[in-house]
Amino acid sequence: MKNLKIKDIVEKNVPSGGEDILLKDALKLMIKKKINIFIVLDSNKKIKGVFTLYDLLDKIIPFFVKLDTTLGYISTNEIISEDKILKLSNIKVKDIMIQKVYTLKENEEIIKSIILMYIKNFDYIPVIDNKDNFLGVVNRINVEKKIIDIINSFSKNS
Amino acid sequence: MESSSINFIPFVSFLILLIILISEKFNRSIITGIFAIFFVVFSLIDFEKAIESIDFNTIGLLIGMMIIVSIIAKTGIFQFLAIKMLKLAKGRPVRLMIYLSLLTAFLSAFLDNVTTILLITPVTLYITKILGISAFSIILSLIYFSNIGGTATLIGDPPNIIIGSEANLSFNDFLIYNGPIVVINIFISLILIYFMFKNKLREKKVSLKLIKKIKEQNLIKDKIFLIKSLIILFLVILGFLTHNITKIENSIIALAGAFLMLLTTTKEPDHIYKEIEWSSIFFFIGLFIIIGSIEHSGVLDLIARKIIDFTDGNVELTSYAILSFVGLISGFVDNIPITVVFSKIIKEISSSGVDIFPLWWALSLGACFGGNMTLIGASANIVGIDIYNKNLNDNNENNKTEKINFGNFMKYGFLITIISLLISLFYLKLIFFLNK
Repeated sequence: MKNLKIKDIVEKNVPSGGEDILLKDALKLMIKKKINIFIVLDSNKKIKGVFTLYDLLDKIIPFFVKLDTTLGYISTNEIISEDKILKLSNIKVKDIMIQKVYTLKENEEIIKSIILMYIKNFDYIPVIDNKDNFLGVVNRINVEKKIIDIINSFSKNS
Repeated sequence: MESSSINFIPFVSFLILLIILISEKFNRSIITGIFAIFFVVFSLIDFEKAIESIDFNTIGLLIGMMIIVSIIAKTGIFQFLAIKMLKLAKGRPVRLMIYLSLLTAFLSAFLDNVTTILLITPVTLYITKILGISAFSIILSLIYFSNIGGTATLIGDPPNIIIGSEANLSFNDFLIYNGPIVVINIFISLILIYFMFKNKLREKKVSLKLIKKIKEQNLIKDKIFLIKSLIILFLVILGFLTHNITKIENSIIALAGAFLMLLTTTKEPDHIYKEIEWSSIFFFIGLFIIIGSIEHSGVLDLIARKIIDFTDGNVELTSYAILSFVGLISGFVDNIPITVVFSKIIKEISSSGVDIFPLWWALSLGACFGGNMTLIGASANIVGIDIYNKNLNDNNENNKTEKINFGNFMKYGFLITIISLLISLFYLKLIFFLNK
C-alpha cells in the first residue's frame, strides 16, 4: 500500500452533469455506466453535490419506516405513495443531491480512502485534482482490485 | 416555623427554574442540574442533605423500568399487537381508532407514556397509510389515551412513581384507587373521541384481502427472546403486586427484573445502558436536591398552612383544590416538579392533623390527567405530534391533511382534560367523602 496514491485507483468513467439535469436522465446515465453515484458539477467542473441510490431510496421510503425499521418486514406496496414516485420523474438532481461531500485529492494516499470507506461506510468517494476540479471517484471495487494486486505481487516475490 | 425565619431564596429560584423550563430554551436536565449545583455551592442546602434528598427509590424504579422497557421494545410485540387491532377492526377507521386507543391505554399503564407513543405512532402511521385515511384523529386519540392509561398504575407515569415513593403507596394501591377512575375515564373519553372524530374518519371501503396480506408474525423476530422478556415482565409485575407481603422496595423489584432480563437476553449490556434516559434521571436528581432545599427553607410549610387556612382544614375542599390546581397547571408546566413540590406540601399538611390520604390521589389524578390539556402538557404529546408532523412533511401531504399544532391539540385536549378532572372530582367525592 505504501506510496500508492488515490490517482492510481481513480475511476474516471463516472456519470456527472449540471444541477438542472432531470433525475430520471441522471438515473439512465447511472444504469448505463453501471455505477450508483451521480456527480453534480458547476460550469467550472467543481463538485456542487452528489447523489446515490441511497438518497433516491431515502426520498421514497416513508418516514415511519425510517423511524421504526421493523415495519420494513411487513411492508406492502401501499406504503409508498404513487404520488411520491410520480413526483420523482419531474425533479432535478439539485433537488435530491447531497451538498456536503467528502472528497479526496488525487495525490493523497490510498489508505485514506480505505479508512473513509470503513468508518463512513461510503461506497464511493469523489476525487478532485489540485485545482479542486472533479476527476472521478474511488469505489470499493477499485480498492479491492488494488488489494488483490498487492497480494499477488507479494506472493510472486515470495 | 415563623415567617421571619423562612428563607424564600430556594423557592424563588425554583419558580425561576419553572419559568425557564416553560420557555424550553434549554434542556431540562442541564438547567436543573446547574440550579442544583448552584444550590449546593451557595449553601442553600448542604452537601449531606442534598444527597439525602435524592429519592433513590424513585431513581432505581425509573432506571429499572427503562432497562426492562428498552429490552421489551426490541421484541416487536407492540407493533404486532397494533396490526392485530387493525385486523380485529377489519380496517374500519372508527373501530380502529377505538381499538388502538384501548391498546395504548393498556400499554401505557405498564410502560412510560413516551415509550408507548414512540412505539405505537410509527405503526399507526403505517396502518393509516395502508388504509388511505388521515392519521390526525387517531394519533391525537392515542396521545390522550396514553396519558389516561398511564394514570392507572404506579409505573405508568412518573408523577405516580414520585407519589408512590413519597407516600409509601404500593402498586396495588394505585390499581385499587386509580384503576376504577381510569376505566371510567377511558369509557367516557372513548365516547368523547367518537363524537369528536367520527366525521374526520370517514368510513372507507377497505380491501380485507389487503389487510389479511400483512404478516404481523414477521414483526416478532425472535420468539424465545419475546417469551423470556414477557416472563420476566410478568414476574416484575407480580413482584409489585405482592409488595405488601414481601416488603421488597419497588426499585429493587424493577432493578432485579432489569438485571435478570439483561442476564438472559444479552452478554453485552452496554447498548441497553445507553438507552436509559439519562437526561430524565439527571433531571430527577437535580429536582430532588432543589426541592430538598426548599423543604428545609420553611416555604412549603407556609404554603401548606395557607392551603389549610384557605380550605379551613377541610380535607374534601383541599383535595378538590389540589386536583384542580395541579390538573390545570400541569397543562403548561412540567408535571414532575409540580408533583415533587406538592408531595412535600402534602406531607407538611399532615402535620396539621388533616387526613392526607385522599390528597395523594387528588395529586396523582391532577398531575396525570392534566397532561392532556395542551401540546406541551406531557412529553408524550410532544413526541407523538413531532412524529406525526414530520411524517406529513415527508409525504408532502400538508395540503390534504391537517397538521397538529398547539391550537387544534388543545381544542380537543382541553375538553378531555376538563371532563377527566370533573369525573375525578366526583370520584374523589364518591370514594372518600360521600358518607362524611
